[in-house]
Amino acid sequence: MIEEDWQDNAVSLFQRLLPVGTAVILVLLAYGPVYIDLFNNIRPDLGMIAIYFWMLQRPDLFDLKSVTILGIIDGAVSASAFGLGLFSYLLMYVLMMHLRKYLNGRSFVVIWYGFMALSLGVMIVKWLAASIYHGEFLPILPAMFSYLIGAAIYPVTAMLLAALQNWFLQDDDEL
Amino acid sequence: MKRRRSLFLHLNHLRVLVRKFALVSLFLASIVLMVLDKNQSSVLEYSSGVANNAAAPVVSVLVWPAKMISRSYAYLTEWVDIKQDNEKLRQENDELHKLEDKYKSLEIENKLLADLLNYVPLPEAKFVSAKLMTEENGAFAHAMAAYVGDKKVKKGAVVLANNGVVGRVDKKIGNYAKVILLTDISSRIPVVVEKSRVRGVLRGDNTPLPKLVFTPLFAEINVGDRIVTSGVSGVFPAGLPVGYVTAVGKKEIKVKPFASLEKLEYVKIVNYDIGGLLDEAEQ
Repeated sequence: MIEEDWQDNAVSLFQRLLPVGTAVILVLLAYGPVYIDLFNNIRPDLGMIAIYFWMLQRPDLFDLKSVTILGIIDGAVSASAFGLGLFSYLLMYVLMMHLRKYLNGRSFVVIWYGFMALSLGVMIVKWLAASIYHGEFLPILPAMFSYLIGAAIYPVTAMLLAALQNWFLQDDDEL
Repeated sequence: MKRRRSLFLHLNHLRVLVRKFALVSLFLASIVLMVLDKNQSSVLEYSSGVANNAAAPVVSVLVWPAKMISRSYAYLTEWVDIKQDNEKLRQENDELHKLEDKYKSLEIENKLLADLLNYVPLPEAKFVSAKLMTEENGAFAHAMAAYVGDKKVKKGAVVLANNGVVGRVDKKIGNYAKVILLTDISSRIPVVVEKSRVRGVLRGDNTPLPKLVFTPLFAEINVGDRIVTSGVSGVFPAGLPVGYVTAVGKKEIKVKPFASLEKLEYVKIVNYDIGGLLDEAEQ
């Protein structure tokens, strides 16, 4: 009986931590050396994809605390201004809080367009904030290409996250 | 009953207010963190170092499959060109043999002249070889974290790849050194055009090709000219290869670094111990 309880608790904890765990992994993946010329100056913001996906699919398991943890981890690992990652993730959180209802239950293409629109807005604000921080306008092209690559790989990343969601978060009504 | 309901409503209202306040305060906190980072807060530097210590091994494991795929692809593409490469290397080897003879005679001549002039050579550099653990080559920063273990690495130490300057050490906390690449927007390296001896500053702008700035208006700078460190300011010693000029425009001069920043695996962190602005700033 006690063993069963322990197992249930462990499974429940794993399910609760899955969204933020996958988001942390995606954020860290963006900092991995990949030795591919194309990615020398263009890195997609995988953390943004994770925030968008989980806030749309499981807002009950991905709240403000998760976004804050993600932002702090990004800021600590990144060489750009500490707080810039947190700022952009909070922005995505606020946008999703207000616009989630319009995207819920829509077809995948609409959700994808939604990500493209919201991440474009967030990227522009982040670019402006970074430019203010450095006291000069940063080149916009790398930021735009990063955004485009992020938008292009959204379907694959979302598919992987959806698979994880289907495998592990189907029987979690009690969470 | 009515009183209890009203209390519940009040509590609920309070909870919503706290949630809204939390969001606003987190936004403010992120801005405050950026301001503190601009002023190089030691608390932030420490926490960033701790996070790097924790994240670097995780990242190293996470990117292992991608690394293997990329290496296999590189191996296959190199295999296709192996015959041409072999021929090219043979020619290079012949040329290097000739240069070696020339170098030996010049070394002897140099030593004789140095003795004659009573020239005091620079102190010998100490270096640490470090493995690249994380890298950030995005729109907002160009940096990397290298594992240096318990070896002593100074802030501002020069970071070299096998063919040129990569950047400088920004900070070392724990077992990792954070290296700001020469393409980063905060990077400024005093350089000189090797042929014409025109001085300038190599300024990163978060693109793969940093800009050469603060050069005289009618300076003789051509595409293909080699750029080396000038040694001005004492942060970098003079004569280290940096890159070559790829474009000379009216508004800007672009430089391509010799080091392949996208293919770094190991770097050499060199402490020349020549003193300079960074040491003064630290004091």
